[in-house]
Amino acid sequence: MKQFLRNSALVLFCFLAISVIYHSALPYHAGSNQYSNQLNELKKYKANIVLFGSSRTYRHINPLLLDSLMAPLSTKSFNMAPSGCFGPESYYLLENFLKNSDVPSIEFVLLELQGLEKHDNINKASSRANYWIHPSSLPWLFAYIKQANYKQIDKKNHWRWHYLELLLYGYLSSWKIGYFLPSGNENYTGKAGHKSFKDEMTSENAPEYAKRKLQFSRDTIRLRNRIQAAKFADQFEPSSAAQIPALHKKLCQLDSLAKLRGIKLYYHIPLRLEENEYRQLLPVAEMLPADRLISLYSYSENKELYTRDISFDAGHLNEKGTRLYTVKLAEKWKALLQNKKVDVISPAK
Amino acid sequence: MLFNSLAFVLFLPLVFFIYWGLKRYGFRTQNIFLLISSLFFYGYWDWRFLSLLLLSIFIDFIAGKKIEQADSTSQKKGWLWFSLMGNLGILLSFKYLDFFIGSFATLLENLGFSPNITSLNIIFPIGISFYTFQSLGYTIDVYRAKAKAESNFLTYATYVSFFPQLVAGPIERAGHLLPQFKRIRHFNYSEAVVGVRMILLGFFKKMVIADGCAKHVDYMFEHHNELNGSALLLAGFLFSIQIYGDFSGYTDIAIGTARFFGIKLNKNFSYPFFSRNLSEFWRRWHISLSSWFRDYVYIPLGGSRYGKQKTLLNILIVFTISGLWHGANWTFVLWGLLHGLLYTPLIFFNPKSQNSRSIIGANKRITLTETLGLIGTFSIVCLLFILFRAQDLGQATAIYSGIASSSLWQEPLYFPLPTVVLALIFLGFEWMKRRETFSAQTIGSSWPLVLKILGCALVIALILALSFERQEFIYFQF
Repeated sequence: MKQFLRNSALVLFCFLAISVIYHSALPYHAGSNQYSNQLNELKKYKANIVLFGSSRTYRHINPLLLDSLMAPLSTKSFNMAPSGCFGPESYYLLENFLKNSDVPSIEFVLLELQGLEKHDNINKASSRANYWIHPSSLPWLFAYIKQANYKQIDKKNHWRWHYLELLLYGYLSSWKIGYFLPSGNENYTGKAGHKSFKDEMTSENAPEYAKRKLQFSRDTIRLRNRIQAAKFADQFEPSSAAQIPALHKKLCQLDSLAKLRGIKLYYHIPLRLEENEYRQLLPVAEMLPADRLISLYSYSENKELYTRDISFDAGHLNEKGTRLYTVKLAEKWKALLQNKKVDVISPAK
Repeated sequence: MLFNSLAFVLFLPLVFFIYWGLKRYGFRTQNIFLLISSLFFYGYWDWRFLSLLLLSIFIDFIAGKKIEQADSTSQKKGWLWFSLMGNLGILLSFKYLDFFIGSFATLLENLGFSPNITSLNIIFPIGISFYTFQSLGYTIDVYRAKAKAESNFLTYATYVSFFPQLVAGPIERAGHLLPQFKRIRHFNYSEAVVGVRMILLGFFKKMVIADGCAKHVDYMFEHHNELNGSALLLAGFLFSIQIYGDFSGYTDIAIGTARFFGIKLNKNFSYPFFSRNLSEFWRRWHISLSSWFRDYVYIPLGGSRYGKQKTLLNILIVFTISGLWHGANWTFVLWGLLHGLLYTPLIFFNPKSQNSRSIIGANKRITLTETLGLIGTFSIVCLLFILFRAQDLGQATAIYSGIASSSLWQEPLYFPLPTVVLALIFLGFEWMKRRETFSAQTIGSSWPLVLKILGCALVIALILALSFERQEFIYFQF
């Protein structure tokens, strides 16, 4: 028995050693075909601004429109936000993007502030959901979970187990040669990294998006909940709320890395979040430099961004909404870049 | 719980350590622990169906005891019927009721009636075909005085529910497996190493070969109307490899896992694709099931004792029931029946081959007749497996029509080269190793320990790397 256990342990050790060597040789984005494609395009595009974040950044910010609005500033933006990208993954991608110095022309990064989210069971075992997680991610994730209060994150053990599961799935799925094969989602890059829902409705995935649009048209509750959450955020006193030092520390790390590369890191708080997401983000946003923070989530200031006619679903804007959002973002960002205070300006038609 | 799941990877070592840790408390304690683990293993899929498993165990435990205690043959027969009705009742209700209801409704429609019959949508409990047959085999053996009735309920329950073979066989005989639960088991290093080899081989067959073929087979059958004859024939070939990889792989894992616990299960596959005729094929494919049907259906029906006509009838009955056992669909019935029809000439015209037990080319040079026999048998098996995979008779007919057309001689419209190459390499590997009990029996056996350990780790990595199952990320919600 001892001989068997010893040899089994040696096999396991060998496998882990091979695993570590193999994983260290993988590019940091192996597993996310969409991001890999976006990165390849970015290298040819030679942008000076990149956007990182979730589907809210991916769908809501049109880089070509942004550049036209940022004139006379000579911006050339590229949207690097992959669809379905949750907070930890987004920060992981930016961190490695900055470390790898892949694109020397970058001067600015706009990062969407994100809290923690959980993948659905249907996606957990997909490499796209778990490629980003490594043992080194766990300390800050667990610290975040511990520091968040129950209004920000509840059922903490479920969260811990969720990330451990992702880690295990990640190691298993990363072995598959299929990991590197093109997936059916290769065409996500769109124009300058952005793909609108309108474009999706003419793609091979159109039936699924049509179904989603139909579901939203029959649903009155979810958008109302998002509006309630935005109203809550308007009233929310961040200084009185629980701070999540782990999140602040992560953002400071990213900022330091950016500075080392000579890049200026800007942040934006997306709109149409759920209440517990605002509870996680607003306290940390208070601690960020005000001249590098863009907020358009406020319901009282941006009612027009919460109407049904510009919505694709409760959490996302349609093409009309994207245009409006990009215009407002450009106004604020341009003002920050030119070091001016922003007045409320009517959106351009 | 499936073997190729994260849960099993965590489950097995835990059970292994606790099992051998309990050795000092005796084999009965180990049995209780194995029983609990097996029930957990089965209940992990759906705890509600544990009741069916326990019901089957209970019925046959009581039946076995009563049969042995019975004074008269009629009493023994009565308890045997109790067991038969109980087990077959469970099997018929959960596996075949919807099928018979649907078939009856179709028949009425064809006769001009408009029946208003609703399907019951009964969930099919995993492994039910296997454990009911194993349990039935026990009562029949007790009835025939070939096995003694088990007096200890927990030992009997462990025998039926033993998790490695619970959901996909091999279907064990009481005389072979039950005694192993009634004696002290010792951990044997060599046996455990055999177990490791079989498990790795099993995972390779299942996750790399079978799953690799599966995605192409699914596509080809779904789009069969768009494919030409040669592609459809290729689909039959790939499905044959898939089902072999899947089933024999699962069995290898089962047998290998059992070795970890000091339990030996019977072999279930013996290089069936290298058979010279169908008779040999059925002695090499799903051996535990074919021998079960031989011993508990064919022989009680009379076997070959009552003349050629009766023998022919018995063979057709056995193969048809065997087909139905595999699935509740007319395609399975037809599959079994056709195998029976093609099998029968061998009984009458080729008696010598019945005695051939050694694998082709094992002891002497391969003759031209044997080569032709091998190619012919493999072709028939692949063609008939199309029925096994087809959704219904309509789809099967369409595929056979396609194969029988002139497009058979065209270049296949769908040709997954890497998968075909892998399948051929796999067949070639099995061919080279056909003289061994299982194909990974001796690989690296003469290597130094360091290479063996490294080789084992690399095989695990290779299995993970080559397993084609790649779960797509559902983007549409974002």
